[in-house]
Amino acid sequence: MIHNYLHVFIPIFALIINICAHILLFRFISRIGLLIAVIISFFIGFFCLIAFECYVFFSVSQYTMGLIYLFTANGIIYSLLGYLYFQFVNLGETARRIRIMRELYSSKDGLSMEEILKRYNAKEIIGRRINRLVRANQVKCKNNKYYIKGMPFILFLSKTIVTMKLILLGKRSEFD
Amino acid sequence: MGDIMVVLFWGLGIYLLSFILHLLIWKIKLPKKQTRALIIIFSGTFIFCLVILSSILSLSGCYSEFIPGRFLEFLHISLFFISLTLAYIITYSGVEVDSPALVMVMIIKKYGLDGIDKKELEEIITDDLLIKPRVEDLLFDRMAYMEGEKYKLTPKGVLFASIFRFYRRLINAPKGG
Repeated sequence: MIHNYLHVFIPIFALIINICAHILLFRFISRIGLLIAVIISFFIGFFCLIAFECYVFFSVSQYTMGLIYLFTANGIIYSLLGYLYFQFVNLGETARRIRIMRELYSSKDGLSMEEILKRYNAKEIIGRRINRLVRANQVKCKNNKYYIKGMPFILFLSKTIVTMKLILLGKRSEFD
Repeated sequence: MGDIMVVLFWGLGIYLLSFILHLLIWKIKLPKKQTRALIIIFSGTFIFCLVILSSILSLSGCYSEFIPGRFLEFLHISLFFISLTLAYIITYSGVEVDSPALVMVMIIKKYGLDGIDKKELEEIITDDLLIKPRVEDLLFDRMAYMEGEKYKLTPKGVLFASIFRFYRRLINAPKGG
């Protein structure tokens, strides 16, 4: 009976392996990017999930259902947990609120709006984002002008998010 | 229907029910604190459904293939539902506010193949669009408060900031943003 509980917790074990692998990869392989490290560690966790599932299922489980169903449910749970971890990493990397909170955290007496803007501002955000977009080949740059050709992934994603905004919020932007 | 199909069926079923309820409430009136409202809707629906399911089981006393009968199945359904819900809520935060990359991409696309230079982008996308609303969000969510002219973190804000600070230090990453 106790072995059946292992099936429930396997996605959590796999997630822990995913997180540990990501921390080790990013910390000790200097050339590796944050996103690449997230992708590699996700697959390391996924591989462990398959291995754990097979081991528990064939050796100790009394679960009455087939391995395929079990793997489907736990595969979905692990993928969702992996996505959550990716979003957590992404928040630390790109979220403005987190960056502002970190600036406030590092200042004992607090910061005025002017001081916040000296440390973190729209100019810095645009500079970082545009470099990332150009490096990832999502936006082209010619004669210091930025343009988009075709339908790169980021444009597809932006359009999807705008559609979701229209469905859920009834507007295209938070400023509408 | 076997154990795992019960997990998939009820996990997805309760999620869909919560999602429909969320859509209906959003159409009637958009809550001020949207993330909090989502957590209340999804967790409320989930608890309600679990209570109904266990009541059916204890009242009828008979086992049905469609109804989870063991604690293990309830646990598995809970994990499935919670993962799905958290994934949705974290994605929703990207829908709630405009991301800078999204705004930039839509503006660049609008300028077509003629393109737009960095200076023009900086004139359109200002601190009023990117920074000030997020500082206001911190006040609204009680992550920060004002003391005179200064913004300071509340204990809740300090907790959030330290979690991310600790993690960024652990992976040896710069400040980000």
